[in-house]
Amino acid sequence: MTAVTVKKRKKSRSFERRLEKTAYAFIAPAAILLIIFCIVPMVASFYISTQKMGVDLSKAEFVGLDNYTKSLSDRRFIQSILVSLRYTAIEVPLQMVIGVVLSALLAKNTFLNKLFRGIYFLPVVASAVTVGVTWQLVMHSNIGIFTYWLKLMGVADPNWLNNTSTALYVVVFVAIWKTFGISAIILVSAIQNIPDSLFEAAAIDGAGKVRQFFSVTLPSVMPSFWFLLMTRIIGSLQMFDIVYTMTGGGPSRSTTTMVVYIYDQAFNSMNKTGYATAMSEFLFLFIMLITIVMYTIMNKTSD
Amino acid sequence: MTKTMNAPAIPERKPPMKVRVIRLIKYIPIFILLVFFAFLLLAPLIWMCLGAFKSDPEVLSFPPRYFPVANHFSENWANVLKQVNYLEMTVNTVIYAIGTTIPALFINALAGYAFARFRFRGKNVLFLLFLATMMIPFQVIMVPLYLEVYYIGWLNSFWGLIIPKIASAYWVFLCRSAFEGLPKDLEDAARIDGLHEFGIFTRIMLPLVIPTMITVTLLSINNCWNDLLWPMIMASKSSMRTLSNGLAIFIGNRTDNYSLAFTAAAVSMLPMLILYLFGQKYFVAGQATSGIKG
Repeated sequence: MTAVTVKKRKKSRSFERRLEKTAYAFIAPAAILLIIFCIVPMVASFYISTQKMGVDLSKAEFVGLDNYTKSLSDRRFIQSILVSLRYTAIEVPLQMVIGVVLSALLAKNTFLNKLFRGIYFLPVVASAVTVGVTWQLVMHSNIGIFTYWLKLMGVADPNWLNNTSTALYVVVFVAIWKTFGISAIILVSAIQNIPDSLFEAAAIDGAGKVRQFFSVTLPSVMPSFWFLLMTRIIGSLQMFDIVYTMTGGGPSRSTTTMVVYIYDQAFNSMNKTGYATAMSEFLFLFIMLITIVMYTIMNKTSD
Repeated sequence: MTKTMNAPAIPERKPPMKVRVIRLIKYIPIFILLVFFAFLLLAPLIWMCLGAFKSDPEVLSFPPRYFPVANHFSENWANVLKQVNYLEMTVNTVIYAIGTTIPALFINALAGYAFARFRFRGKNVLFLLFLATMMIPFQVIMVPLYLEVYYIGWLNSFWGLIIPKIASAYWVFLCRSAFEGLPKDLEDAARIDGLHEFGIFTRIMLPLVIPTMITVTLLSINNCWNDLLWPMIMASKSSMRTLSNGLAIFIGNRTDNYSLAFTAAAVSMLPMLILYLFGQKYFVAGQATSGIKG
């Protein structure tokens, strides 16, 4: 190192220190808000989950892990876990298949494809309430247009949303209806990021369209695919708004997902704040587990 | 339609007529599938919008009538206004959406800029802190957050509705990747000219990432507009209700009041539909770059 550069270093050090201070100042507002309204509640949730309490902290009573053990013997909570798992097990595979197929068909930027992508994305921006009310009407026993069309096709009306064996499937269908545009768009942009040279090389090697899809497209979009899969699973486990606006968790709890039950216990019951929080830790545990598993898979496949 | 089947970008000789015809025929089943999906998607929405113009007997007629005979929209709308304080809910929603979005744009862009352009001690730790908040689902912290807001004394106020929702690691990362793409010479030149760091940010850098800012604006407005859980928890007072929250309560399980349900649902969709028509590109860009939300 020459003397000149050392001198320069010294001079620039005070400048760098100034930049450092600026950086902290720029990050501070967002960091402070996130700490107060995200990190603190997360940490506090573990404390609250050991209390028997309503909203009044001064009347809180320490009960250790009672809330956790109580929730595991709460039949309704177990049922809500099963509903959430069932919902996820149906929704996610269907959503992924539709997403993959549509993205393969819509990847090229032609006028028609852009139009279709535009249409498919439309319900994504609509609110869950709009969607929930619309679908309640569409599947309505007396006036619903889909109920009527299904009848014309020979499918008798089982009273879709008021039947314990069909309500969850309708909710799954509507959830996919609302969000498959996102899955398709994410995979389309992944496909569009594949360099053309890969396809050309495959074509020279004599690979047809279908072969190209399996040997070039699929492997190249795998990282996006796994990422999407992870966010879909996590999103499904957190399902609340479409269920709440379409069925309110009914009929007879057949669509009460974990979050619907937690919400109900926390805000519609007395003195169950601690209990609801303990249940939400289970949700957190599930989500953490899935994140870890999916990241492990992603790291393995990218090697 | 033959055009749609051409291979991407590479300039190619026009394939012979026969090949083009075969391609067209092969495209027909794909086209039918795509149209079928589009139909499944649009039919309920169109039917609902048409329903807003029908009278109750028309809605109930069997077999169903697709198009309204006469325009009953104004009656239906008057009925909605009689039962639901639509105007107040709209105003609340606008305040929630705008009040969150404007500070969110500024604060998150600032943080994203710092992460993208500065070197500082503790950067990795701070980065992990932001990343960690993305992994915390709102559903898990909703109860403690409610208690926190309750103890601050912000229940049933716009402060309580807005302030916890401003900072978002998701926006920070979106802004960060936008700022990372800008050349380093820009800020060096501005520094030599004596512009202070905040000035470099607002006057030089921010104007260069306007597309990302528009994306954040639209997605943030959309998120607030459609947000159901937080307003439901926060705003128990009827005068604080937002559209999502209010309509869920008033119509949620009362869809048998047909004109109310059809009309309110159709009208509530309009603002986001318009936003989407004008900003489709940005909505898609926001989802495609990361796709965290959903």
